[in-house]
Amino acid sequence: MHKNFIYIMMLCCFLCLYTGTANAQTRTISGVVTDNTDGAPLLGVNVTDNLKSAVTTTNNKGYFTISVSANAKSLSFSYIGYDTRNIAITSANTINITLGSSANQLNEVVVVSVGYGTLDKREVSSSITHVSGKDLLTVSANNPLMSLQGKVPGLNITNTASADPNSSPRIQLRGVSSRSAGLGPLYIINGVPGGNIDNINQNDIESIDVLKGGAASAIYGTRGSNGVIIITTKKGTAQSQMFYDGFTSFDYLNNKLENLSAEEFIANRVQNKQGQNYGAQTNWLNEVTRSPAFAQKHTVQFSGGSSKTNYFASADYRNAEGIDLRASKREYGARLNINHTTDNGMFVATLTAAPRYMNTSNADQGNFNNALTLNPTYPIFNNAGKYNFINTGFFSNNPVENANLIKSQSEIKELDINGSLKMNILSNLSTLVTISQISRSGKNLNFSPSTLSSIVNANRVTQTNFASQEQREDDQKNIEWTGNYGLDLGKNHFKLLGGYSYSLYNYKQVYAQNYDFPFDTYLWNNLGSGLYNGGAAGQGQNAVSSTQNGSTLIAFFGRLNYDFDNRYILTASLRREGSSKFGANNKWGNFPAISGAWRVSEETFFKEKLPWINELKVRADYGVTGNQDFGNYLSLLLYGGAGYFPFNGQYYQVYGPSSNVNPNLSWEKSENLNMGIDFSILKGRLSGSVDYYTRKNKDLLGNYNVSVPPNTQATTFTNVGTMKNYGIELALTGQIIKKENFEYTANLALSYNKNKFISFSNDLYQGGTFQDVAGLPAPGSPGNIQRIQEGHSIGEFYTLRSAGVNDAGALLVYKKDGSVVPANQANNDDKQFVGNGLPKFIASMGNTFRYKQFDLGIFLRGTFGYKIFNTTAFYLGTPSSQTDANVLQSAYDSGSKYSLLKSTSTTSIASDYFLENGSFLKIDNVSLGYRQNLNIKYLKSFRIYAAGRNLHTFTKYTGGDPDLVEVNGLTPGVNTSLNYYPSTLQLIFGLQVNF
Amino acid sequence: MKNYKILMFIVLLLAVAGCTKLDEEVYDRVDAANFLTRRDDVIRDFLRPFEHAYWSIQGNDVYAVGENSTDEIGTFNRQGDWQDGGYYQRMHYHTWTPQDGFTNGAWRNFYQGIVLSTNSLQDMEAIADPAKLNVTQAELNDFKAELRTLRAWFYLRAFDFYRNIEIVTDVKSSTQGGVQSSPQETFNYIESELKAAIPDLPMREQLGATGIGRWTKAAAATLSQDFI
Repeated sequence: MHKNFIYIMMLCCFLCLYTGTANAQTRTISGVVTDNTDGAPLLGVNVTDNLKSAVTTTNNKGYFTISVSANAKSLSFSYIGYDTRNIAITSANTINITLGSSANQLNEVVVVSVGYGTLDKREVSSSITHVSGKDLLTVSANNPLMSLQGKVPGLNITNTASADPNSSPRIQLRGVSSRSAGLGPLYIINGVPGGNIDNINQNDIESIDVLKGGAASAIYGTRGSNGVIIITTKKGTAQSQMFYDGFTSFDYLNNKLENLSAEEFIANRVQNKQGQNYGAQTNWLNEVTRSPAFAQKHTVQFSGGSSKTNYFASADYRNAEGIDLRASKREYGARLNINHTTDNGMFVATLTAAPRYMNTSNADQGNFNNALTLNPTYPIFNNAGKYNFINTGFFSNNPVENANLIKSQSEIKELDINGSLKMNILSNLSTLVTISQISRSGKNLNFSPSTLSSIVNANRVTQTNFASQEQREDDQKNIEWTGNYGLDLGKNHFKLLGGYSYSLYNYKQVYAQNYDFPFDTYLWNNLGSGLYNGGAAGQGQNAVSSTQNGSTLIAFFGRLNYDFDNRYILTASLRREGSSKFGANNKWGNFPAISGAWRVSEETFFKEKLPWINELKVRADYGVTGNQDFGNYLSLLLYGGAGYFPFNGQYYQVYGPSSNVNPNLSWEKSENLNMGIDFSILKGRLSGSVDYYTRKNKDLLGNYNVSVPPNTQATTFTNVGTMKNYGIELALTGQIIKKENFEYTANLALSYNKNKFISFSNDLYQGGTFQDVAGLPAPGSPGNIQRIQEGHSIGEFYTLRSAGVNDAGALLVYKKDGSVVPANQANNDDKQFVGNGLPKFIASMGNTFRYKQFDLGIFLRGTFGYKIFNTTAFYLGTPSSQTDANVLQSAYDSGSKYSLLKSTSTTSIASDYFLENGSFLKIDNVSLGYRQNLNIKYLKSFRIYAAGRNLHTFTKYTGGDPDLVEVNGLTPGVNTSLNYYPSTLQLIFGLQVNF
Repeated sequence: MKNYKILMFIVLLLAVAGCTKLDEEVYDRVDAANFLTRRDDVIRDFLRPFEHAYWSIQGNDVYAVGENSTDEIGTFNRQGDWQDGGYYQRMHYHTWTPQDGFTNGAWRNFYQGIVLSTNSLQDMEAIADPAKLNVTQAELNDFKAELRTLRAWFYLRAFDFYRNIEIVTDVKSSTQGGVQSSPQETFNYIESELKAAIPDLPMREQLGATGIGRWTKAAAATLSQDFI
């Protein structure tokens, strides 16, 4: 009985204690955790209280529920890659919060594509710039690389006709590297070399890696000299996602070149007997412009899958007009990517297909040339209501008529298709086979009607209407086989890559033309009906042509990555590559590279004494790359057809040597040295990199003057010449303000480049010491105004040096002996180096602001330290410009130096009087967006945005927008034609929706 | 099992290593070494320098500098048109520089003719069995003689223009230019070439109406007569 009582008492006490514990109170709190940028729910977020009394994780809807003790003060939410947040517990039982991704680079793993593989950013020992898809600019452009403009120091992207919907940018890395071989970089799209770059939708880009250092791009051998741009597109994940982006854009003319109006023309030119008055008042610039030019683009993406299979699909449609009357582009395309892993993880297969169809109408840049030069008193239509026949001054014609009646169109089909199979033989040994085909088929169509005023005016009976069709096919097939092996021995880590690559290129072209079709409405659809070909006046042989050429590229390559304790990193690679284009004696070449890095911040000394330095890496690399981007068959002795000659009354096409043989033709070699520092300090608040590089390009390819005799052609395509580039690049990112509701991040990219042409000769070929380039056209044909000379940079202007203007309005120049004479009394011996057209500095700055749900980006870009030859002022800016042509306002503006040149005796003589400072700073892109998470049945979140591009340019250059003058290529700082495509201000309005 | 996989890997690698052929496939031109296979090919090869000769008398630099450097023609600046950086001015005042195109242009005009004639001549001389190409021996001798005459004609014009010129005998295996010959050497060479060629040249009557543009005995004789 006592025993029972004790048991009951114990039970009671136990129960009391238990109840006591229960009555000591717990609370249940629940809620939803989402990502603060797109409102997506976060799965697997770790939730716990400050007393650590309970812990849970969020489910796939981001939902959690946790029972904590009543005296818990706060809940802590942590998630890999995101900043941890502590939220105070209040009387509310529901806590919904958002988490923002962490910029603390210690926790974040940035994966960088290095070519044939990826590395953690910390293991990279060469110079590679990584740009995430999120950081690309908002643009309405023809090519996704326009969104990269200014983001990568050393990569100069120029587009002198960016408002033309068919125009593509010109891209150059670390200066000009060649005279005749291609200057563009190699594009790798998802591991496949050489894809169609305009077949990528900017929204599909996950990241872009630019391999700048020689060691990084040496793995690509003869295609790596101009840098490698690796584009990785988005992949599907287990998360089901659907996304829509649509925008419209409007382009307006800005930075106009002002010429005289009709009244001003009559007052200034007609009165001085320098022009006629034809009675009308025409503003030619307005007449050839379609302002605003409207464009729209719609993109839909959806992706999803499971852990074993995932897919990513996107489709888009774009319709864009140019600012001129004729240009337009209508295109649609899709990209489908599927990845599949077998159950046991042994095989991974991928398949990607990206077709695209484009219908384009090409711009006629001559129309803007005519708009500048045409007499504004010319009417567009004559008295009979037909287009006015215009033929005086400056090769003119009626540009409104040309834009409306002459057709130049293209139909383009692109297909990039590739597949790969990876076998994980062991956990550290794998092999991968990739097969791809990249093809582009373009049809160019041209037509000119019999009703053109010039045809009607000449009363032509033959060669009245004209049409042609041309079909061009580019095809590239690749097969690549690589193997990867990894080995970890204690603190030593090895990664070994070996591979084989085979590429087959082919180009085909067919062309046909005819004149004198019975009906203009046939356009180019019935070439056979034209009467001109084959007739007595016929040009039969020139009416049809076709060609085909192709080449093969084979390579073996290998790379070893070694690091000790993640502190000392060494990478070495070798590629042995051969191309069918090279001469018989030089088919194969070797391209080695070596790079090393020391992660100073990982040393114990640094970790203890200088903890505010999160990452400090010092690296150096050396690599040899090549350039084989030139035409086919240039090393062979081939007989080709020339003209026609009779033999016994029958005409034969004669055959003879069509080129000089060169069995020693080989690739251009580039020796690249790069030294750099990557750093990240103050918990990642300030990070960046500095690089110093030198590139020596040897065996430059080019058409080299050889002696006739004994050669048949005056030039041989061969390797002679050496050129050098060196410079400094700086990239800085700073998270200046980082609060919960407000963030401000600034990026700075700066590059300084200097170029020097070292030699035109080698042992075999003794060249001259210089070459004159950049010839200006008629009227006047003043000749070449730039000179490439040994020991000098490219872009050197070589003309007479001006000494002012005399009272008669003639240009005065210095002779060699220092005396001053009117320019028409000087000769070629008095020319000298007067300035340089190659920019010294290119800089850009991006400012990104975020306030709650608003985001604002302000992007500035500038090019400094170079001169531009004002071609428009030279031909049209002075009062002595050709009679009956219109002139710029500067001709009669007493404030402009060009108004002083009144005498026609020195009109077409080039001098540095027309050299102006080309430096500019541009407010290039301002974009504002507002995001709202809704999480309703129909959609998850949306973002509306607006952007303005090319808003304002600060410059002293008086010839319009300095961006329209090309600075990439061999003749920077001058346009050698009056043709141009105007600069525009672009406004974009768009909407993005997440479903 | 693991060994088997690695072995297969290596074997495949070796097999693929055989895939290293880098021959060029030419689609729209013909390799010079395999050019002469039919009668028509011989005719086309023979006619090549003739077609160049016809082009060479149609003006271009030879005419421009030949006339503008005299008082026969002047090309003047018209409000900038034809000013051309002083190109024609330098012809007129005899102040031309090596950068002026016509200084090379005229030379190339003549010497491409000489090189093409020599190249075709060397092709003809390399024909061991003309019958296989449906060409008679007399025709082949005719071709060779006409090419030598044509070449002598080009030399005459170059001699007249430049005086100190180079005599070229081989074009197939040389890439560097030779030395100038003295005027007497050049004269002797041209004379000997014409004398050697005349016996094999056709008569005007043989060629008939289709003989325009071909070298006949009479034409060569006129050349040597006027010259000598």
